Amino acid sequence: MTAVIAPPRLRRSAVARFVRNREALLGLVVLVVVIGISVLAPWLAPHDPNAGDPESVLLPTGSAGHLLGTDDQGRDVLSRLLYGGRGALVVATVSVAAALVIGTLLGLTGAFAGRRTSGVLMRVIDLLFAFPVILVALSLAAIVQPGPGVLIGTVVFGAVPYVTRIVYAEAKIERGKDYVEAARSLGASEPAILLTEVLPNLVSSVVIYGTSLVGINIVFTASLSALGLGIQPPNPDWGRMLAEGAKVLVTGSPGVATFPAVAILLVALAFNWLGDGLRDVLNP
Amino acid sequence: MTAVLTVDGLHVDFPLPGDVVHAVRGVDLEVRPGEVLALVGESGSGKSVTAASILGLLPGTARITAGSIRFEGNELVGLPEKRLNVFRGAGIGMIFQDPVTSLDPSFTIGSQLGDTARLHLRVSRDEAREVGRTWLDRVGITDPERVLRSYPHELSGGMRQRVMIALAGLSGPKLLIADEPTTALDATVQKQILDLLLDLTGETGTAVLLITHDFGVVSHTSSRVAVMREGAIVEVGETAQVLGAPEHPYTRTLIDSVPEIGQRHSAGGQERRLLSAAAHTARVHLSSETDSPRPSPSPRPSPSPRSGRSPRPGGSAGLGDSTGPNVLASPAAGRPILEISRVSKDFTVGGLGTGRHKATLRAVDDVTLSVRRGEIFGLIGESGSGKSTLARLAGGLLPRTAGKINFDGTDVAAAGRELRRRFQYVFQDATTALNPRIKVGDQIARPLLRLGKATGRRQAAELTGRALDLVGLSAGYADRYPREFSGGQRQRVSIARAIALEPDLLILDEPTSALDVSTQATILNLLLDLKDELDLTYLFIGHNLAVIEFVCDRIGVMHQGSLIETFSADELFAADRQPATRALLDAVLPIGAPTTTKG
Repeated sequence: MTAVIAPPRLRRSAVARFVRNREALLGLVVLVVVIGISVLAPWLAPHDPNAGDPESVLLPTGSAGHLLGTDDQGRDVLSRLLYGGRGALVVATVSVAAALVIGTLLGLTGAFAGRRTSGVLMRVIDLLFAFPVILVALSLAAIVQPGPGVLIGTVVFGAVPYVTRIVYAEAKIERGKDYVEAARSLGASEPAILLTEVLPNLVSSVVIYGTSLVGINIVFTASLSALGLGIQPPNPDWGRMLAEGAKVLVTGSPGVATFPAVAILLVALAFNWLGDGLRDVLNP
Repeated sequence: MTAVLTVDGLHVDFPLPGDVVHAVRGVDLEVRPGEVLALVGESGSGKSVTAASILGLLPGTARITAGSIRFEGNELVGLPEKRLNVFRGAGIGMIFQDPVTSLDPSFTIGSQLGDTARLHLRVSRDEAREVGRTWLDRVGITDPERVLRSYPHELSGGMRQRVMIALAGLSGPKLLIADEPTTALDATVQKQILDLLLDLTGETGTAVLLITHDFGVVSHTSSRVAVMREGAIVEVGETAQVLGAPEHPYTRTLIDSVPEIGQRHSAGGQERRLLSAAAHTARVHLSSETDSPRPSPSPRPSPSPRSGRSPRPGGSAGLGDSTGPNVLASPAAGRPILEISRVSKDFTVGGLGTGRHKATLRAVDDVTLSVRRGEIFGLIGESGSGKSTLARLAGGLLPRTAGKINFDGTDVAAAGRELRRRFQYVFQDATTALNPRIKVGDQIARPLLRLGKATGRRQAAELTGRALDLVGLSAGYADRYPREFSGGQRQRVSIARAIALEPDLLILDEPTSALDVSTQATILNLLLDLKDELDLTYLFIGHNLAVIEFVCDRIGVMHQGSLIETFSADELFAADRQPATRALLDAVLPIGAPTTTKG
C-alpha cells in the first residue's frame, strides 16, 4: 500500500512553505514590528516613560498628548508600552537560548551514555520537573538583587528539564537508526557521531520547541515581574504595568492594565505561530 | 460468463498543491468468476491505488476522475460510504500486505473474528465464536482456542496473515482483493499462505485479484496476469502466455530482471548479468595511487541469454566444474580474508523497567566460517536466523559474546583506522543508512578524511566524485540530500560511500531486499561489475535463495543461530543438503515452471 500512502511529494522552496502558513507569516510580522518598536522606543515614545506628572493622573485613553492615557502616577501609558517589551524580549530569548544549549547537551549525553550514567542523569532531570520554579525565583531574589539576572536564572532552570526530555527522546530514536551504525562502521568517534551526525537531525525539533518556549516564557517573566521579582520599578515592563494597572482596573481606568496584557498575549501568540511555521519549513 | 468485477477506463488523481499526480491513467480490468487475476507492477505503478479505489479506500484527497467500477453489475464509483459498506466484506473481501497494521492491536483475535461474523452472518455471540473457531481451523491453525484468546502481537507474521484470510473469508465474498499478501513474510511461509489462499478460494469459487510485484507469486497462483506501469496496463493475458512469451518489452524486462534458481552469474565460465533497463559498467579507477593490475572484466553478453532456460542441474555439479576460462570462477584459490571462529552472540532481553523477566537470547551460536579473498560468500536464512547479527559482528558493529573474528589476521574489535577502512558495510535500507540531514557528498567525503584516505577537502571531493561515477551517479549529485534520490539511487550512494574507501571486503546486508525487481537487477549487476573492477570480496547476506545463488560463489545457511552448512553455489542441488536448506529451496517460486494448481 506504499503507493497509496505516499504519493510523490511535490517539492517547494522553504520560503514558499513558510509563506503558505498564514499564521506563521502573521507571527513573523508581529515579532518584527514588536522588536522594531522596542529598539526604536527612544525615538518613538512621545514622553519619558518614567516621568510622572501629578497634574495628569489616570487620564483616559484618547486624551490629548497621551494617546493611551496615563497611569496612577501620571506616566504616559503609550511610552511605557513602547519601552516595556525590551526587558521581557531580551530575557526570554537569551534564557531560552541558554536552556536549549544546556538541555540539548544533557539530552544527547543521556541518550548516548551508558545505562547507568543515563539513568542517573534522567532521574535528576525528573527531580527538577518536580521542583516549583517560583521557589527558585524567590530564592534567587533573596541571594542576588531582583532583576533580569533572577529572571534569566529562573527561566533557564525551568526550561532545561523540558528541553532535555525532548532531546533525549528524539536522540534515542535517532540512535537506533542505521546511519548512526553506518557512521560507526566508517570510523566516527562517539562525540563525532553525536555532534555531526545526530545533532543535525535534532535541530529542527529543538528550534521549533524553543520558539514556542520563548512565547511561554514571555508570559512567565511578565508574571515574575508583576510579583516584583523581575524588572524593578520605575523601569517600564509589561508585567509590572499589568500588576500596577490591576489596582485601577475597576476604578475607571481599564486601559492601564489592558494594553500591556494585549501586548504580552500578542507576542506570546506570535512566537507560537512562528514555531508552527518553522515546523512546516524544517520538516517538509 | 459475466465478470465479477469490471473496471473501465479508471483514472485516479492525487491533487497536490500546485500539481496533480495521475496515479492511475485509464485502467481496464476484468475479473472473471473463480479466477485468480494477478495485477503485477513495480512500486509507483498504480496497482495498489487501483485496488484501493475498488473498495472506495482511496486516501485523503485522491479522487476518481473518470471511469467505472462494476461489481456484479453494480456501479461502485460515486456510491456513498453507506451503500459501499453493503459490498465491503460481504461482496468483496480485502487482505492487506501487513497484518500487523491491519489487525486491531487492542482486541483479541476472537473478538475481531466474532464481530465480523456477527456483522455479516447475523449470528449470536456464541455462534460467532464457533464460526471463528471453524475458520481458524480452516486456515490451518492447529490450536484455535489459544489463538482466539491472543492479541495480534502475540502471533507470528504467518499466523497473522492466516487470521487475516479467515477474517476476509468468513463473510463468503465473491471477490477477494489481496494486496501483496505475502511480501512481509518469510519465503518459507509465503508458499504456505499462497497455497492456503488458493485452496480456500478454489473451494468456494471466490475470484481473487492478487496485487504483487513478484513474478514467482504470479506464476504460482494466477490464471491470468495484468502488467501495470505508470498507471496503465501494458499487457494482459493468460499467465503461461505472458510469462513464456511476453509481448510488451516492459514485461520482458521485468521478468528477465528476476534471477531464477539455477542461474549463476558465472555459469559455464561465462560472466552474465541480469537484464536491466539501464545497464551500467564501471570504467573508472578509484584513485591513481592504486593502479595495480586488475583482472580485466570478461566479455559480458548483455542482455543475458535467458530464453534458453536450462533445466535445474542435478546433484552432479561438483567443484571440478568451476575451472572455466574465467579467473573469478576459482575463488577457492584465495586465502581467507575474514575468519570467524566459534563466534556466539547473546542478547539480554527484559530486565529492570521492561516488565519482563531478564532472559538471554542466543542470536548467533558457535559459528565458524571463513571468507576467502576474491569470492562472494552468501549467507542465507529465514528472518531471525541470526544472519544479520553475524554480519554486524563481522563488521565490528556489535561486541561479541564469545569467539574470534579476524580480518586479514587482525581482530576486528581492535581494528585501527587503516584496518577499519578495509572492511565496509552496506545496509539493507539506504533510506535509514544515509543521514537525511547531510548532503551525500559530505557523507562520502567525511569518512575519507577521517580514515586518512584523503589528505584534504579537495582530494576528498575528487574521490567522492569518482566513487559516485563508479556507481553510475553524476558527480554533481554530491550536493544533494538523500531525500532527493530514488530508492535505487540511494543504495548506489550507500555503495559509493563504502567503495570510496577502497575496501577489500564489503559486507552487504540484504542490499536489494528493499528495492523493486528491476532496480534490484541494476544493483546486483553494479555489485558484480564493481567486484571485478575493484578486486573486492563480498559477504552477501540475503533471504532470497535465487538472488544468493545468482550472485554468490559459496553459500552458508543459517538456521536458529547456527551455521548448518556451507557449500559451493554449484552444489546447491546436491542430494545431501540439510533439511533447512531444502526448505529454503522448496520455498522458491520459479517463474518459468507452470504449476498444476491453476484452473
